[in-house]
Amino acid sequence: MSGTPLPQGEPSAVATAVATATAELLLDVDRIGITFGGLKAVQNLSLRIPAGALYGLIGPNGAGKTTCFNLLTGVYRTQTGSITLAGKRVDGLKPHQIAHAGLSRTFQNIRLFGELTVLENVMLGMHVRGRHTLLGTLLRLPSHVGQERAMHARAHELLRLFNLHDRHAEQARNLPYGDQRRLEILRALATEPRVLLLDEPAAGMNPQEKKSLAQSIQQIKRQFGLAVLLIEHDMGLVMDICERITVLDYGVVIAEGTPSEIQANPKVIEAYLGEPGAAGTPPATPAGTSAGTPAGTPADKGST
Amino acid sequence: MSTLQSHISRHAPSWPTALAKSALPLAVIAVLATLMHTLLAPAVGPFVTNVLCNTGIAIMLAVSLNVVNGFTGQFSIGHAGFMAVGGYAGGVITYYGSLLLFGSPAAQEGLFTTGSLLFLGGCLLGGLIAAAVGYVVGLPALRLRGDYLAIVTLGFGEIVRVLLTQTGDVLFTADEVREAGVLKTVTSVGGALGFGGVPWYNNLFWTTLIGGIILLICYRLKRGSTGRAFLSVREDEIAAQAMGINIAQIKVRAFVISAAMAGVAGVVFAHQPGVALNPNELNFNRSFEILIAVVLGGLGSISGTALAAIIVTILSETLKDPPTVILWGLAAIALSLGLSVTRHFGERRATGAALGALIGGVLAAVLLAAAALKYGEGLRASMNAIVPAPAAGAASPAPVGLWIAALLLTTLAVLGAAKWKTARAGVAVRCIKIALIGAIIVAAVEAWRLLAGALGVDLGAYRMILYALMLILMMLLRPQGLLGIHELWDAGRLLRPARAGKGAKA
Repeated sequence: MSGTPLPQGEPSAVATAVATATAELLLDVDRIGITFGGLKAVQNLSLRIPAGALYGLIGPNGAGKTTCFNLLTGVYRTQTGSITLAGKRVDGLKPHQIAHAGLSRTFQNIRLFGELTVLENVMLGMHVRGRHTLLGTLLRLPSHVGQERAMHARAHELLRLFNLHDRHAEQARNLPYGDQRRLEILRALATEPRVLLLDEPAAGMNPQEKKSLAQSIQQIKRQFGLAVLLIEHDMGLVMDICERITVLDYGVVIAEGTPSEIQANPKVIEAYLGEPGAAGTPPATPAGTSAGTPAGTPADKGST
Repeated sequence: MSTLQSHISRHAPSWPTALAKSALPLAVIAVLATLMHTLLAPAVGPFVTNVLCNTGIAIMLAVSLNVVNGFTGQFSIGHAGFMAVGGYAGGVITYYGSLLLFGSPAAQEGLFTTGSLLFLGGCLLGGLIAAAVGYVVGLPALRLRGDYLAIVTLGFGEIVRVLLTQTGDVLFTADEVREAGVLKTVTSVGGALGFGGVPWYNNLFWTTLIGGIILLICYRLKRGSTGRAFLSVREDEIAAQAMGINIAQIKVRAFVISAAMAGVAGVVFAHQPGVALNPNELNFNRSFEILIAVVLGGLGSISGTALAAIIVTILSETLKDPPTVILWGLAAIALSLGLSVTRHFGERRATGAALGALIGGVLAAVLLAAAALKYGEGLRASMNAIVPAPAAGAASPAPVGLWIAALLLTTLAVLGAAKWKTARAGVAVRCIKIALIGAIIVAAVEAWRLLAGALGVDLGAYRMILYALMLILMMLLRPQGLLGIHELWDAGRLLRPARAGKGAKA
């Protein structure tokens, strides 16, 4: 699985630890990196996500979390390292090829097809799993009609999952904010992914919405047998649902482990709150709390 | 939950059912085309038939451009180039084909002849060649977007025009053609003097048939998975890619399909009675007229684009015969009022929406019919040639009182309709606002017409100014065009004001 073409020293201690702990590795990210000009946005990032896992990726603003997603989905090309999805190398592929391979994502700033209807958005997610010939479309051959009907039926099924089917004929841009976020997740699910990348799915949601989102994420993970990788600023949510968490700061992994390990990790606390001596902040306080909020986001504490 | 592919066979209809459903619209189009040709054309006479054909061609061009500019969200402004490529290719086939096969380039009498087979062959080949050119022009679209792509397509249109002006003189006999060989023959298309002599095979039957097929193609494209992928590229390229859509392939496909349809429209145009293909007529102005229809009608809306193409074509015709402008203007107001009411009620109840659409539509239809009658009347007198000049002296003083009265009536009718269901004052205010805007437009056109009359200039020559003003107004009031991405029949359900997502924040 870890047959990387760039043997540059020993795999990191973190990576080995995870590899031994898991059985079936689905997404194997091995020491990827990218620099923009002189800025090392992401360096030597390794992630090992087994099937059916729910992992979190956290870090302060500008730590390189979204860049990491962009590397995984092919928006940027990795300059070092490799990405293997279910035994298949996907780094260097175009974004649509990666989506076809089974990696799907949502966006931090919602990117729905706003003018199109809710139903069409979900059906576009299924596009990658369909066969599309111009002749079939124009002559409405049985294969095309059957595919369209199957897409319709399945899209309604998916929409029912998040109680959005009542609004299927509405334009996506007219949905309330929280529904737009949920629709984006559904659209990503419609691509039949093996790994789902969620970029701040709870951003801008109220505690109630966050709670139902957390349940939804766990539900779809079980129902579809997906691996989920989650970027989130809401520590309550992350600590609550993620099995393992990777912490990024300045483009490098500074910690990796279970939520309780992360909460106790002094490096993480330092990254979020500054150096103990310099900032004069007592380092141990956030890690000690039960909700576990190392980030300076006390408002998020109520959401579990 | 199982995968998509495993569901398809369960949902697929049987071949006979699917083919019957698929062919039904074609049969309807064929019947319609026959009726148009056998009943309508003799009834309205050659001039109006000619205008109808021109309108049909304008619709074909506009809806084909809509595939690139509307569905896919690219910005192409060299559409006349594709039209020219197709038109000249088709013209070469029928002109030189007729010369070699039948000894004379004149069009044969009758609807289904060997000559019309040649014409259909020309349509096919013209479409194919234009599609190939569309592929080449589409390639820059992979790297460029917005203004930069516009410049490339503009350049393409000019290149085609200039190349065509440099071609050799038309050959007149079969012997000359045999002597010249293939390469010289296909480049002997008249240069800057134009390619006269292309047999006039087109009539209302072919226009309706081909136009109908093109509209059907656009509709099925938009409602099918391929067109949905086009729309996703327009909406958000990054999201489309992330959903597994190959946006490079989509863009090139859009250009190819659009160019093919424009090429076919060009062939139809080349064979239109009265037309002598001339590169200087297929210039940027022509591209601009096509673009206007798409932008005014709504980027992405087939029916909107077709409607705008009709309006623009009729407008350029009527500008030659000014008085009827008022009626067209009134019809436009009635339509916009109807749409406005529809839009308002679309938010709450379907009956209100339907009522608004009905009133606006009926008023518009009555006014349009009145305009058409008045228009036909003035022209029937001068219809001795196939393409006569419109009656110039027939212009009477504008019946100002008539249009004011009609405007008031329209406003009152719509206001009444508005109050019928709800007591909200906003509706009335809104209706009055739109009526005022409409009145200003008509007044402006009217003032312009009077001024032009006083100065003794031909309004038709200045139509570009009017188009530009219309575009500016539309961009200010409704940037997405009259119907946006929607179709006319979606109006009640979807034409509602944009509402920002609740609680949306950065």
